[in-house]
Amino acid sequence: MIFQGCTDLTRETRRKWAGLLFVLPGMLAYLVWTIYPIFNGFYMSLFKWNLNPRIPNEFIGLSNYVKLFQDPQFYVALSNTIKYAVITVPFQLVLGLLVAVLLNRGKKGQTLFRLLYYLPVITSWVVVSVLFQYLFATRGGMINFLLKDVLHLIKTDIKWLAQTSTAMIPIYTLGIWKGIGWTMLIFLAGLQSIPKQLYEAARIDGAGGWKLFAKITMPLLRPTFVFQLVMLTIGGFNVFLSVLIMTGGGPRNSTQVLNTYMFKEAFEYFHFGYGAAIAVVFFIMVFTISQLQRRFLKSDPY
Amino acid sequence: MSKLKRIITNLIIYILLVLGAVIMCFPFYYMIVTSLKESAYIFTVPPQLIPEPATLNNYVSVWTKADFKLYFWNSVKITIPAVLLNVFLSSLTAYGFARFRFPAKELWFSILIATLAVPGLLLTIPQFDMVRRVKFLMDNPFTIILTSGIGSVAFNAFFLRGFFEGIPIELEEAAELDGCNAFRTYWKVALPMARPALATLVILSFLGVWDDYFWPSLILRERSQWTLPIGILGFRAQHSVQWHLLFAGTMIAILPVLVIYITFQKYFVKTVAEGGLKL
Repeated sequence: MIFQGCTDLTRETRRKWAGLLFVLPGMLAYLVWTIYPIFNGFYMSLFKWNLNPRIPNEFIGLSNYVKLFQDPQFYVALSNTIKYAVITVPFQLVLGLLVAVLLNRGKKGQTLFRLLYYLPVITSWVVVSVLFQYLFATRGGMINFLLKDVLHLIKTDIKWLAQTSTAMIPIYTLGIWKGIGWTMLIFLAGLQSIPKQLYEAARIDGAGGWKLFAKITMPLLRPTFVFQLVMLTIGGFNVFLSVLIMTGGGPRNSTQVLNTYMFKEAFEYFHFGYGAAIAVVFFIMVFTISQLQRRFLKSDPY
Repeated sequence: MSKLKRIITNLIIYILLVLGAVIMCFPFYYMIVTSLKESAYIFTVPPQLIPEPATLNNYVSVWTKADFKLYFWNSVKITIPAVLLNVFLSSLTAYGFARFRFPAKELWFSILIATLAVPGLLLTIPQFDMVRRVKFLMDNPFTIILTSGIGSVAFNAFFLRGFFEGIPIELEEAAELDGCNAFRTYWKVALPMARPALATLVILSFLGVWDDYFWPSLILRERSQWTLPIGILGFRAQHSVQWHLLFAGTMIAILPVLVIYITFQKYFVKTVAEGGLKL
């Protein structure tokens, strides 16, 4: 018995070291490439960071933050980012849910439809942004052609990306179009995890289509819904490449979002400290919003 | 009566699904059509929906004259090693968390999860500041291989851990009794069993590296090292209105993604839905 205990102990110790060795490379990489940059980001935001690494950086305390909260461009970017999230997230949720419900009903061809709806998701932002720029071109663009020559809704071509009043519209459209496939996929998984017996039992009790949807599908999809809402909101706040590629933040800042503004400050003007301050504020906001969403929506009333 | 009702309902469902699919896919169709057009036909009113005359010259032209051949191979040379590194490192980490007990394990894991919410771009400024201090790392494709390879280890480890824990442990215990050391057990027993999850990880990792534009564009400043996304935007900046050529270039970038996705699709749909939901 004693002997047995001894070998167990050594096996335990051996496995402890083996486990540490397994996670060591990944955790080291993670410390260097994620944890350190997070802290360094906070640190840099307190400095007038110098482009030339040999010149010491000047500590300026919270000046970057003071400047940020007095910067009208920051508020423009902030409001554009919030608008983007507020507009694109509900559309992605509702349309994705609609497609998932339809796909869940029609069994034939599900794989093909799923692929077709998922194509925009797997295509890179670079490609789809360039593509939407072409579709929304002023003269000879497909969207203007449809609106003017096919549907006769407008008389003259709209300068979608070239005027401040409409420049966000192609960006919203792209965000929604590209996101539907993802929400569909997650909702579809949520729908398929609902036990069929529940519906059968409710039908025996005389419940019809809408009632089934409202009383069974919606409540049981609630966790999926909250998960999606949080993920899509984080995604919405992170809107970046579509804006950078389609408008570069213009015309006259009308499409500037937080990420493009941060990019401009950090990598065009090389204000690394100021860019880092934007990043920190941005991070705190996104983190707070996602925590609030989780807290208020996760509690299951059923 | 109820049978007729069911047929009508199904008909409506399929009409809606087809309509939606047309909207989702039309932009791609129009891109393909444009990539087959001659330059005179790209902005005609009404727009041509079937290229007449159709030509493959645009593809030949961007591949040979506009350096897309170079960008394509640059992308391949970065993506393959980065994906291999990423999948290997992530599975090692996930397996360690799934199967072993060591001090502060759950603390480490919760730190991993907590940082999942940190948006990638927020790290970019300090990361760039790190890289630019080492001369060797700037303008070097190896940097992208390394950073993409270790990039999303936190998410991947979180995602894979559940799958390793879902595999029955008896097989691994049997392997250990047969004298396999921990690494051999992981390599010969656990990895093959986790194949569906690994396939999903390959897709995610491939998409992440192949499509990455922003980070590589900061590091790879020399044209000879550009990857496809940098090349596409570089081409657009130079020849702003040559959409037929540009879209031939984007098609070259899309095709490998399609091949990889369709190959691994059956694993992907299942595992992303199951794994992604546990957040």
